[in-house]
Amino acid sequence: MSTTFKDWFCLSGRETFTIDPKVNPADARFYFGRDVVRDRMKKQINRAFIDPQIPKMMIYGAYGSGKTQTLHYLAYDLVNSKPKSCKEKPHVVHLDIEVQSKSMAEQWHLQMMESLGMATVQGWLQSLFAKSASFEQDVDKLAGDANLAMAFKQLRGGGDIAFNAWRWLTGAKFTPKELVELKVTKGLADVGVGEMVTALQAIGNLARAVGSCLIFFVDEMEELINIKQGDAAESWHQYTRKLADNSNSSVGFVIGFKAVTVDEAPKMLVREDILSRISRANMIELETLAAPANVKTFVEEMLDHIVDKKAAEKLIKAENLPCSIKTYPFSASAFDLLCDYACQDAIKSTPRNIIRTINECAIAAWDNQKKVIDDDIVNENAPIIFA
Amino acid sequence: MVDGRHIRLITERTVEHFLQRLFLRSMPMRSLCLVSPFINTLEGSTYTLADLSKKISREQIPTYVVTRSPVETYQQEAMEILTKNEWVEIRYNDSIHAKVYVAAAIQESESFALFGSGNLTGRSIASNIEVGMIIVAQGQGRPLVEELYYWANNRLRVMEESKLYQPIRARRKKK
Repeated sequence: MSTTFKDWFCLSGRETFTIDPKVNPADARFYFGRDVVRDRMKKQINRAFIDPQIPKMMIYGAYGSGKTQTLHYLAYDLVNSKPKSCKEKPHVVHLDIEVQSKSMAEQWHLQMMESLGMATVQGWLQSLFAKSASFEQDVDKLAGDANLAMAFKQLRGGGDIAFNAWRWLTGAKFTPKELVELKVTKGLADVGVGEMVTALQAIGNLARAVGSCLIFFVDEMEELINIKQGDAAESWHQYTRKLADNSNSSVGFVIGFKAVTVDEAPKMLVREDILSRISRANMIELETLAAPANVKTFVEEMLDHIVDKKAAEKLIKAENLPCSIKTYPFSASAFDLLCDYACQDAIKSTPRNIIRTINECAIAAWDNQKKVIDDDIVNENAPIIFA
Repeated sequence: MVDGRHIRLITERTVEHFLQRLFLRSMPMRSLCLVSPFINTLEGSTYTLADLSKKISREQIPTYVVTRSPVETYQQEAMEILTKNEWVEIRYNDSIHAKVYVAAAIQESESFALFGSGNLTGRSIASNIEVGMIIVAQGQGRPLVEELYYWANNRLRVMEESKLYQPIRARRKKK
């Protein structure tokens, strides 16, 4: 074998057929075969920047339906094709939520703050300081609370006190002595989750003040199902409701969770008081591809983007390969067969399974030194995944 | 910063930790990757290779093994067990030195991986001094498990040195 897998299949700037934005961040730019739902999400996000001035959306679907890809794509698209309605530069933050049975919403707040990062907020404070003629008054105004304003001022200063100010903003427990040193009167988590959301909104206001727009993309929220205790569940509900509320116009969120229907969602996320706040139009269901036309479009678009067309055309011509550029590296009948397998069971007709099958077929062709994936290869590999 | 809950250093019976988690948790599996230069039957260990093979067949777990070409008798005995299993793909790569084990669960947060010095051998479990990291696909462990899975399941399998010895022959459905 004198060539690599990548060259064997004329892959464009990638080593395999696998698409995973977590492994290859550049894969976030891909969104195949789902124009309708993609356009709907983009339209809702575009509208959201007008009212309530920030996106608030939930995306759900079955395992492998493409939630993670959707979250990464939307974030990528926001940054690279900013909607006209968005006045500031989007600052997107990804977070895969981590939940244990007794986790309270304080854990969520902490994880959001860790994902956002102390340096980012400090950078925003420095930018405000550099451009503001009255920094202290501006901070007081955007914080809207004396303790929050003090934490921001201390955070800008640097050193141990800045780190303690950051800890305070994350909701860490403080001793009375630490509170005095930081010049605040109470801990952020002392009263309830409301204060933490207020702090997050203040950070959103700060971002806005320096030309950024803070939006969290939170994945794996189905983990909330692990929360069994009433108090813990209620704290998550309260935190989500406050974020969803119209009074929050500075911190956006797009939440992804695994659920075939809304009924399977963690209850604290989809209570009526939350749904009515974010609007049902912002509850996006990712259906499986199921229909043959959808699967074909998905695979065609995928191959179109990840195959180097010029190299493939040259190869097809030079070696007289039994396939067209449209279906390369599949023969026409193998391509149809793949789509056929993918449609046999609607539940399994997911982007993840289709991508995995394409990759496995390609590996099998590579093993057999075949430059085109034929019916035999699809028949050998597709049933392992789509059964 | 290491998250102690999801990324743990193991200094004793490292590979057995991986097998134990795999057997005891019994979560629905998407696939299994076993990368080990040397493999034996694990006879005398709590979980033998035959036990693992039975689990793979029973639960129909597509399993991808990358190991060195069997030279010693103990390696050949291990390969005899694995080649009988139609759910196991075997590749021989004589350059392999890495020891990576990835259990990819259907529920992604239940996936986990082990990488370190330990081969899939009884000696590695019982007497060698080994060290390894076991990583659960939650929190900071998640991207690590995903990258290990991507490396073992995609990159390593299509390296020129990774010669296919046996493909997966199982068919849940025949077209």
